Amino acid sequence: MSWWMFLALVHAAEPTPEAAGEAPSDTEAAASAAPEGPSGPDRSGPPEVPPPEVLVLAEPELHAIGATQVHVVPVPGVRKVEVRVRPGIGQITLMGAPGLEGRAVGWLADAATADHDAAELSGLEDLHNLDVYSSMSLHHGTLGVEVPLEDLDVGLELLSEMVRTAAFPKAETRRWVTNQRRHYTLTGPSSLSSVAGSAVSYGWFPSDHPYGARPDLAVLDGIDGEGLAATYGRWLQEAPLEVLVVGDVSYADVAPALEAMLQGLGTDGVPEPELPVEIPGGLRVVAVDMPGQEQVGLRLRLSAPPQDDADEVAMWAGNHVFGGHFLSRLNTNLREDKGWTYGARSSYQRGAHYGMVTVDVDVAVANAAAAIAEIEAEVGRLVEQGVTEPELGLAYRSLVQSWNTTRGTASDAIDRYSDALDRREALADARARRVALAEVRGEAVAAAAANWFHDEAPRLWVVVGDREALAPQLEPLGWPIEWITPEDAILGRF
Amino acid sequence: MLLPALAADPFHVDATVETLDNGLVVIVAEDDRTDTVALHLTYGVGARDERAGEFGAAHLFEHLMFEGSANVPTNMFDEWLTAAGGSNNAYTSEDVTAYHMSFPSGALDLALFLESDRMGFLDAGLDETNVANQQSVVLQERAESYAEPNGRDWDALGAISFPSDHPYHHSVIGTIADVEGFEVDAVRDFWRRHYRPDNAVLALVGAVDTEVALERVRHWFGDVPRPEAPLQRATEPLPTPIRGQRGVIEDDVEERTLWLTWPAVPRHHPDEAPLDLLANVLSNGRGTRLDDALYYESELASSVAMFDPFSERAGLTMVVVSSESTPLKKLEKKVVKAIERIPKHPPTEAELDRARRSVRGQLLDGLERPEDVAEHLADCYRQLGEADCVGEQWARYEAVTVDDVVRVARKYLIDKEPNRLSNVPRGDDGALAGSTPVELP
Repeated sequence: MSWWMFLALVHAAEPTPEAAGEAPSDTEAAASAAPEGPSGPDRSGPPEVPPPEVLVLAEPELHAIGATQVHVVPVPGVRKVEVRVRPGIGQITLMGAPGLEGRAVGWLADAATADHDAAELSGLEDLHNLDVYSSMSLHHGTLGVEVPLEDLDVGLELLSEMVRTAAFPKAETRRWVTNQRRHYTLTGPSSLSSVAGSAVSYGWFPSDHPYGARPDLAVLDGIDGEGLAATYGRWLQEAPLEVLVVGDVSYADVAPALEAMLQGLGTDGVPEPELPVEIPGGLRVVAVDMPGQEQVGLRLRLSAPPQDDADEVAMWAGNHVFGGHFLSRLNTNLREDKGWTYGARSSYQRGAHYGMVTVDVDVAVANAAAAIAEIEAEVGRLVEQGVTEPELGLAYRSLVQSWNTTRGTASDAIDRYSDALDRREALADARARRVALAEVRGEAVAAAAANWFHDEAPRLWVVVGDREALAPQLEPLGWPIEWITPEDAILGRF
Repeated sequence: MLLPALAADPFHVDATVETLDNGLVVIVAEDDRTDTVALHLTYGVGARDERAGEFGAAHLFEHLMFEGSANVPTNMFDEWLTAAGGSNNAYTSEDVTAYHMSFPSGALDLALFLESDRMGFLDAGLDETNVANQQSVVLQERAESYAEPNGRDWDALGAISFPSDHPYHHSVIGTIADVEGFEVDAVRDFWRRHYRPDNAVLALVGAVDTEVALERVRHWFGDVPRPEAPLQRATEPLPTPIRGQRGVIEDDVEERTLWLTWPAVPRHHPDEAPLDLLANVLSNGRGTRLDDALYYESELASSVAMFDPFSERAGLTMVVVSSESTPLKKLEKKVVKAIERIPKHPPTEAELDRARRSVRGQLLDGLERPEDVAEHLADCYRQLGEADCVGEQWARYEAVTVDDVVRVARKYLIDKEPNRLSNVPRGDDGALAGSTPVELP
């Protein structure tokens, strides 16, 4: 029996309170008194909704320009076109290690070109309602443009300028360096959410692994536009390139511009793989002292299956039930039932070699210890009891609906197709994973949670708040707490 | 069917409007790019409608609308909609409270059932437990927001920019005492006063057939009663705007921030477009005057922005500028100087064209997603009495001349004393002289 049939039967089979021997509540009494005359609608229960179908998304059309594969996804009716050039190596391969210089290359490539200084480029973006953007992550990068169809020529021209002649002007580079210093020394340490986010990231990934590399502010002294430009040029020479085109266009509409843009760039090869990473097992607790802070940021990170692991789909569904939407267990418990937080959520991130579930809750300091206990209890409940069929039904429909809106805008569509390229999978496989969600059962979720959330598995708690107020609450937990400063959290100095 | 993106007039949305017998205005527009429908239901009630002692009521009430109604038990609103693949949220402003949903087309009846039930029969679902719970959630929402750097600034700006008897003086989130003090009877009274079909506009945009959608709306909302008492919303003249207030917030920040506010015009006033374009000429990224003077070319400031939060009954023009080291007095002088230069150095046609086209792009971006189109349609109708108003909005921007921009700079900003809010690190003496602490009870 499918879960939506199960849901329908659950609703149909629920006894009325009277039949179960219970007094009706005020709400139920009022419901029975609500107007339902012969001319009015039947309000006795929710109208039926047909089960969802998982939209079939076409595979991209494949073309080749030299060594570069061009993936074209026609999406009729959308106003904008989005084109992304995707270098298949990033900071780790290009620079030897991740760091601020690599981030600067990605951040500043879209600032100016040989033909247009920063002010002109910014003005052109306003004039044509387009956005030229760039980034370099650890393993790859993105150089892209989003542009209305009627200005496609302008958009492609500016993208080509960025790809071939990004200028890295002195003034923009100096400003970026200043802003980085400000973030790491001033604004970052004063923001509870930034402090908590950094503490989780650096507390999880070991400092001797590229994923846990700490920012070295001394590097900022040596960053200059010429050096960045040289690195950028090398990046586009040495990286295997892919291009993704999404919008109400055909390959013929973009081919001449792409051919000119890509001439002499890129190399044979495939995008670099992610790295294996070993997270030390057991509990780690990092507490960040922010004197005077009345709120407490609570973050819990747990190990989880990587993509394509046998437990991935069960964990995906389980996380959705656990903290992935408004009706999740965490939000229902901590917000709707107890009123302790404005929102409690969890996210499930995974790559080729790692996976992690991260809980994110802010509460008043008086509720910190109790909230920690509730979150741990919800983790335990997931392990011991799994999830129910109705809960799985909610997760399935939500995740299917987000897939089914893929073709609403070029931006939605390109994100979906980029995800597929990141995983090196066909859209049919991505769709199959959604379809497989319907087959997940509660026991599978419990088994996956047990496999990954056990006591010897990596488990990181981050608590951010006023130490004086927090310490008495944390002491009874008997945790091995590392107290650090907000500055240490932002810079990963622990 | 004509998709917005393909229409000859890119701003045109082919929408059908109908008013039900009970006064509910319904707007439907078709867009079948995905099997999704967006529903946007706006009620003409916001913080400005709150009486003394009930500050925060409109926003608290927004939370309570999800707690169940006569035929939708507690927590089932979200559960039934989510089980159908839908999602929803809501927001409250000074002027309105809006509820928005997105769902697969097969869930149209469910969505209309849920919305009509809480419009017509919510009071049966209000109880002490639900009210108490959402009071806690709202107070925590306020606490979380205030805990972030500059998290209290926006509410403090209302307090110093509008006199105490002005409907925009108090914050949308409300006071702690008022939020804590609400009782079920007061909440019911608030609902009866404001949540009525003749005070609402419902927009449906997406994978619907217009005739079918209208028929289903009539079916579900037709029995929602229209109260006999006439709808009352305050329209009395507003108190005179205030100028020259100086407030200060001490915060857990490392930089100082200065806000300047000038009384301006309400939304849809003839001077709205030239004021907005003036703000765009002065501050809209690299190559605009204020941004270049304070950030890109001098690095006197770590950030700067100018914008116009126009509301339905009043509006402000605002500048916000931050710096770790530049004194706020110096930053203010720079800002004022850039504004005062406007008559002698009016915007060039190129500057004005860039500002205009930037607005045009934003308007068109706002017509891409069914959710945004539904919001536009509902807002347009509520404020102007016609659903398809974005093109008219653009026409007003298109008609603005350099002289218009200079005129509004003189009329609203030049030689007009602003209100000033300093946000400084705790214990720092860098606030503008004469500033007094702004209390947010």
